[in-house]
Amino acid sequence: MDQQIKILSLYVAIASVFQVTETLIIPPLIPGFKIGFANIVTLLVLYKFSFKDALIVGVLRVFTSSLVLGTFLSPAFFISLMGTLISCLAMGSVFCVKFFRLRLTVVGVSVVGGVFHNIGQLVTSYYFFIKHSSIWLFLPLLIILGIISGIFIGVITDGLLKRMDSNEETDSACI
Amino acid sequence: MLKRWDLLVILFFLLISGVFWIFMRATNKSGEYFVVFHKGKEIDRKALDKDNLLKYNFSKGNYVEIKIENNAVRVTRSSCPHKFCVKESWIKLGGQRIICVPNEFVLGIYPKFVANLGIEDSKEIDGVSG
Repeated sequence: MDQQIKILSLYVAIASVFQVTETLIIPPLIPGFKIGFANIVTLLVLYKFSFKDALIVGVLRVFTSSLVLGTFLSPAFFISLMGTLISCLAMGSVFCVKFFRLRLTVVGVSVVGGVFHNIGQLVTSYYFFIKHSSIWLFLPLLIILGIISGIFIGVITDGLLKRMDSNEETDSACI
Repeated sequence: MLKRWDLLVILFFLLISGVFWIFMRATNKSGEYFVVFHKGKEIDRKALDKDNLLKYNFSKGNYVEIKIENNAVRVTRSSCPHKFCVKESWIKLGGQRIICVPNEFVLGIYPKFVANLGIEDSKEIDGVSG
C-alpha cells in the first residue's frame, strides 16, 4: 500500500509535467486544441493498476498542474476537471465491462476517453459558463478531434505498455 | 495493434459526429429578418426580403452602411480602420452575425420572431464569459 502510494504520486508528477509542458511550450496545431499527453499516464495507470487509481491520478493531475499554471478555481480549471472526470469514468466503464475489454485494445479505450473528454468539457462550459446554444456547433468537430488525439495517445500507450517490464501481472483489477 | 472493434468504436463516433452535423445543417433555416444593435441596444429591425441600402450614422462622423439583396445582408462601407465587417461579406442564415467593434455595431439575423433583444436582458445574445 505504501509502495503503491509512492508509485502513484510519481505518476501524478509525470502527468503534471506533461500537461504543464504541453500548455506552455508546444504550440497548438489548431487553436485551443491539445493532443493531451497527460492522458498517456491515466491510461497507463488504468492498465497497470486499477480504475480507481486512474481516476485519482487524473483528478490530482488536474489540481497540481492548475496550481503550476495559475488557473486554479478559474473556469478553465473546472472545464478541465470535468473533462478529465468524465473521460476517466468513460474509459473505466469501457475497461471494466467484460464485453468491451475482451475486444478493444488500448487504442479503442483511448478513443473513447478522448471523445468523452471533449464532450464533458463542452457540457460543462454550456451548463456553467456559456449558456448559449450555439456552442453545440462545436460538437461534431470536437468528436473528430477527440478521435484523432485518442488514436495518437492510444498508439503511444500501446508502445509504452509493450516496453514496460511484464514480470508483474499486467491484468489490472477493475475497482 | 488496431483490432476490428477499435475501428468499430472509431466509426461509431464518426457516425455520431456526422449525424449531429447533418442535423445542424438541416435545422439551420435561412433568416427571416435582421436586427441592428448599437451599443447593445436595438436600433433597427427589418425583413430580409426587401432589397435595400441603409446607412447608420453614429457620433463623430462614424457610420456603417449595409446592403440587403436576395435574402442576404452585408456591410458595404464602414468608418472603422480594419474593415473586418466589410470583409465578412454576405450572411443569410439564422444566428449569423456581423460585428464591428470600433463602431459598437452588431448586425444579426434571426430565423423567427424574437420579442426583446436588448443585450442587458437577454441571455441568448450575451454569451461571452471570462
